[in-house]
Amino acid sequence: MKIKPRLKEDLKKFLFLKLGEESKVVTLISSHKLTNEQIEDIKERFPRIKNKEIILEIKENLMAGFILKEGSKITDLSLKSNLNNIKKNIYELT
Amino acid sequence: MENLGLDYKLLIAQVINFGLFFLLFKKFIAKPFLNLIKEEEENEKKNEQLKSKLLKQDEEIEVKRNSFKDELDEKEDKLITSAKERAKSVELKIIEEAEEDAKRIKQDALLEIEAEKQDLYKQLKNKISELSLIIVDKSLKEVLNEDTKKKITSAIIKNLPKDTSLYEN
Repeated sequence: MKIKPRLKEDLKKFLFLKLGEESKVVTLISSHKLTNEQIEDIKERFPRIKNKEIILEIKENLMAGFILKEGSKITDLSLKSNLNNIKKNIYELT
Repeated sequence: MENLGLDYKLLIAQVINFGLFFLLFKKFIAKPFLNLIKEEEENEKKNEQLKSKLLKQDEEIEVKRNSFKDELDEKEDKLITSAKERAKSVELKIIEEAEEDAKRIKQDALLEIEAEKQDLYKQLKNKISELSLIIVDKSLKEVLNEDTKKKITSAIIKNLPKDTSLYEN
C-alpha cells in the first residue's frame, strides 16, 4: 500500500510533536502519594528528569516503590515487579 | 462188369463231370478262396505287427508318463519346499517388522510420557511459583500500611546506585 506523501509528512510531524511532548513530560507512578522529599531524591538519582514536568500517578497494586515513565522508557522499581522477579527465580530454581 | 452193376457210360460221364467240376472249382473257387485266405493271413500278420507296435508304443508312453510323473512330483516337491522357505522368510520378515513397529511405538510412547511428564513438571513449577507469589502478595497486602509503603519506597530510593542508566528499559 502506498502512503500519500502529504499524509506521510503529516504523520512525521505528528510523531515528532508527540515525541517532543513526551520527552518534556515524566510520569511517576507509585503505590501511595510520594512526599516532596522522596520526589526530590528520585530527581537526584535520575538527573535527566530534573528539568522535566512530573505527572504523579497512584496505582495501589504496585504495593511499594515506583515506576518512572519517560516516553517509551520505563524504569520499574516497584515491589510488584520485584515479586514477579522472585516468581521467575522460584520457577527457574525449582 | 455189367453184371457187377457198373455202367461204363455213366462212369465216364461222371469222370468227365468230376474233371470238369475239378477244373472249374480250381479256377473259379479254390484260387480266389486261397487268395482271400492268404490276404487274410497277411492282414492278420499286419494287424499283429501293428498290435505289437502299438503295445510297444503304449509301453513307451507308459514309461514316459511315469518319468513325467516323477519329474512332475520332483518339481512339485521343489515348488512346495521353495514355497515353504519363502513363507518362512516372509514370516520372519513380518515378525521382524512387527517387532520393529512395537519397538518404535514403545519408544514413541516413552517419549510422549517423558514430554507429558516434563510438561506437568513445568506446570507444577509454574503453579508453585504462582502460589508462592500469591501467598507473599496476600501477606504483604495485609502487612503493608501507608507508613510501611513509604518506608519501603524511601529505602528503594536510597539504595539506588548513582548510575541509574542501568534501570533504563
